[in-house]
Amino acid sequence: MPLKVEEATVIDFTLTAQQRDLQLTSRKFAKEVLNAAKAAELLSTPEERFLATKPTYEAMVAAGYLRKCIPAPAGGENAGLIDMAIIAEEFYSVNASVTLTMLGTVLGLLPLLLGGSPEQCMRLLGPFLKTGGAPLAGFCSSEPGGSANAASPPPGEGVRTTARKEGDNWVINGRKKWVSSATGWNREGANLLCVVCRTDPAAPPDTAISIIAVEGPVKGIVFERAIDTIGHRAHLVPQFGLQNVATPHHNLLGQEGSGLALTGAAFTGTAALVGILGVALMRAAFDFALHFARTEKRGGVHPIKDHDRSGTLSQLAGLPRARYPVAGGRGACRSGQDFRLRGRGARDHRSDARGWHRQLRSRGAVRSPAAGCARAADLRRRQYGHPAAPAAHAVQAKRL
Amino acid sequence: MAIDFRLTARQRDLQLESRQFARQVLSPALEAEALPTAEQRFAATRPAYEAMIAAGFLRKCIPLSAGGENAGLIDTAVMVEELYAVNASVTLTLIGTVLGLLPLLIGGTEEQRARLLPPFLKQGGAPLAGFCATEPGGSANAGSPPPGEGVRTTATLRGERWIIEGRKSWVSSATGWDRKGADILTVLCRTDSDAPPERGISVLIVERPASGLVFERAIESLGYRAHLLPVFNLKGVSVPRDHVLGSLGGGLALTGACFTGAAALVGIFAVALMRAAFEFTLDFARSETRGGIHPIIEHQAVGYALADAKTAIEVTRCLCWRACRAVDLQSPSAQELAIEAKIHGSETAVRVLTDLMRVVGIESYDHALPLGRLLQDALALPLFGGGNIGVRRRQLHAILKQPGYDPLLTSGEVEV
Repeated sequence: MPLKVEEATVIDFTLTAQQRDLQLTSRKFAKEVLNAAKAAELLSTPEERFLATKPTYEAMVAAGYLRKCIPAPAGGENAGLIDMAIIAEEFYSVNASVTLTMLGTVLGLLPLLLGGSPEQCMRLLGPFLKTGGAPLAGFCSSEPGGSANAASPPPGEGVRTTARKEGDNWVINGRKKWVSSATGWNREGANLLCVVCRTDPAAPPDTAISIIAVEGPVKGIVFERAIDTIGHRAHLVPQFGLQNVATPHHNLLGQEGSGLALTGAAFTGTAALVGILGVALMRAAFDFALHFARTEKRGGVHPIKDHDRSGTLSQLAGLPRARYPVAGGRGACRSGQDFRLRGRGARDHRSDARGWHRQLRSRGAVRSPAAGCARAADLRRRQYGHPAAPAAHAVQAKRL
Repeated sequence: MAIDFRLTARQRDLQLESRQFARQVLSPALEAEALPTAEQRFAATRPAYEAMIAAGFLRKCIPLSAGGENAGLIDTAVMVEELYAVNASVTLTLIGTVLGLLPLLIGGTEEQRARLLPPFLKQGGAPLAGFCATEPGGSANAGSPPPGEGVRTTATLRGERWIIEGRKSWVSSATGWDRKGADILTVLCRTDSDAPPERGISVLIVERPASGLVFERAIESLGYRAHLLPVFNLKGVSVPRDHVLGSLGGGLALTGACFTGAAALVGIFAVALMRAAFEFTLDFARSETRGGIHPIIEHQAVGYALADAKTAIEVTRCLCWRACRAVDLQSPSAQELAIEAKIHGSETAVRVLTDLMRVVGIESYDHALPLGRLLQDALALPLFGGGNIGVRRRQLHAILKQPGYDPLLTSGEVEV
C-alpha cells in the first residue's frame, strides 16, 4: 500500500499532526499503563511473568493499539509503517516485553495481511480488530535446530515442519521455537498461528514451502517449555510441537509453495521495526544516563564535569542517526536550537563531541532527550513541560 | 631470553591443576545461580568456596613473603583464567577476598600481618575479606577536594579507638555468610575531616565480629548471580587506634596501589569469559548445520567472526600478562599497562561476547546456553574494579599529561 508521495514532501521528516498526536498519546499510555506492568518481570517463571502481563496487554488492545497496527484496508487504522514505528518507539522504550507481545501478534498476522485473500482476512482477522480481549497471533517460522538455512536444498533439511493433505484438511507435524506468544495464554495455542511448513516433500524449497493459518486453540499443539530468556523477561517465547494439527485446506495463505517468498515479505517491514526497537532502548537508557549525569556528583564537585564522561554521552547523543534510516531521512532545516542539536548529531559525532557536550550541559537543562523526534512547533511546550532546571545547573551553565 | 611468553613448568602445573579443579568442582557449582534470591545463591556456593580454600587456591594468591604460595601476579593470572572461565561468581568471591587483604599485604606491618593473615593461610574454612572503598552515591571522585564530598565514611578517634560511621556498597562478600561481616574488612574512611584528601583518608581494619555493621540489602546484580554484593552500614563500628593500615592519611595512595594489580586481573577476567564463550561457539559452529548442508563454520561470515574473536582473546591475554609482569617487577610502566589491560580487556569482552552470540543466533538468548550468562558477567568488567570512564581513563589521562611522560617506556624496559 504505497503512500502517494507529493513533491513538497519529498525527503521530509516532520510528523503530521496525526502522527504527533499518536506519538503523544502513545507516550502517555506507556507512562500510565506500561510502566507499572514492569513488575511482572520479577516473577519467577517465564509463564508466570507472561501471564502477569495479560491485563496490560488487554489494556493495550482496549485502547486500540493493535487496531492501529492493522492496515486501514484490512479494517484497522494503520496508515503505514511509520505510524507503527512511532507507537513502537514510545511503547518499547518503557516496556519491551509487553510491546513485543503486541508486535509479535502483528508479525503473526502479516502473512495473512500480505498473502491472504479478502475472504481469509474477513474470516480470520475478526478477533484482532476488536478493542477487547487479549488476542494473540504468532508467525511460526523458527524451528529447534535453527532456521537460518530454511531455504537450503537437500541434503540440507531446511524447513522440517511438514503439512500433508487429508480430506479437506492440512495435517501439520513438526516443532517450532522462539515464536512469540505462540502457545497462547494457556498453552493451547494463540488465536492465530501462521505456520511455515513443507507442503511438497519433493519440490525444491522455493516451490515446496507454504504458510498455513491455524486457528487456536487447537488440538495437537504440544507445549514443551517456555524459554528462560536473557531479556524480554515477561514475554513468552515457547518451544512446542505440532502433532497432527488439522486446519482447513482453505487456510493456506497465498499460493501453495510460495511460503519462503511470503516469509521474506513479512520480515522486511519487521527488520525496519527492529531498528526502531533499538532506538527505543537507546533512548530509554540515554534518558536515564543523562539525568544521572546531570544530577549525580558521585562524591565530586560538579555533575557531568569530566570531558571523558561527557564525551561518551555526546557520542550517544548521536543516536538520532539510528532513527533516520528507519523512519526515513531527516527534514528541512528549521530554525531553533533543536535543529542545531540534530545537525550535530547527524555529522561526525566525534569531531563535534565537545560542542555537543556543551549543549548537553547548558541548554540541556531544559531539553528532553525525546525532543529529537518532536516537531519544532512543539518546542515551547516541550521545554516548559520538562522539569524546570535546578538552580545549580543554571548557575553552572552561566559559569561555563 | 627475555620476551618469552612460555610458562614455567610450575606455572603449567598450576594451569592444569586449576583447569581440573574448575571442571570438577566449580562447574557443578554453577547450579547455585538458578536460586531465587541473591543471598540464597551466595550461600549455596559455600561448599565450592570451601573446596577452593581446601585445595589451597587462596594460599596461592597470597605472596610467599606473607606466608602464602604466590610467586607473582602472573601466577594469579594463570590460575584465575582457568577458574573464572568456568564459574565467575565463586572465583570473584576468592579474588574479592584477595583484594580485601591487599591493603594489609601492601600497607600492613609485620605485626598486623602475623595477627590477621593466619585464617587466610589455612587450607580450611571459608574465610572472607572485603576492601570497602565504594559508597552509595558513587566513589569515582573519592579524591575530590571540598566542596565535593569524596569519601563520606568517617572515622573519629575517641580515646584509643576509631569510631567508624558511613555506608558502603558493591563490596564483594563484605557482610559475610551470615550478614554479620566478613572475617576482615579493610575500610576506606576519612580520618581527618580538615585535611586535604591525600592526607585525610586512611584504610582501617575491621575484624569480625564487628558490632555496628548493619546489612541493608544484597544487590540484585545482572551477572555474578551467585556472588554477594551488599549495601551495608557501619554504625559506630569501633576499632583499636592501631588498626590503621599503612600511614595515617595515606589511604588514597594505598587504595591506588591495591587497584593497580586488580586492573590487570580484570583484564584476565575478560580473557576467561571470552575464552569460555569462544570454546562454546567454536563447538557449536563445528557441529551445528542449522538446517543447511554443512556445519555453519563452513560459512565465511561465521569463520571470520570466530577468527576475530580468537585474535581478540590472544591480544588481551598478551597485554594482561605483560601488565602482570610489569606489576611484579614494579616497572615504571606498570600502572599504565595495568590500566590499559583493564580498559581494553573489559570492553573487548563485551564486544566479543555479543559477536559470538550473533554467530550462534537467537539460541544464545536462552539461559539454557552459557553465552547469556557470560555476557551478563562481562557487562560488569568495564564498570567494576575502577569504572573505565569514572576512574580508569581518568588515571590514564593523568599519566599522559605528566610532563615527563615517555610513550616508549612500555617497550624499552631492559632485563636486569
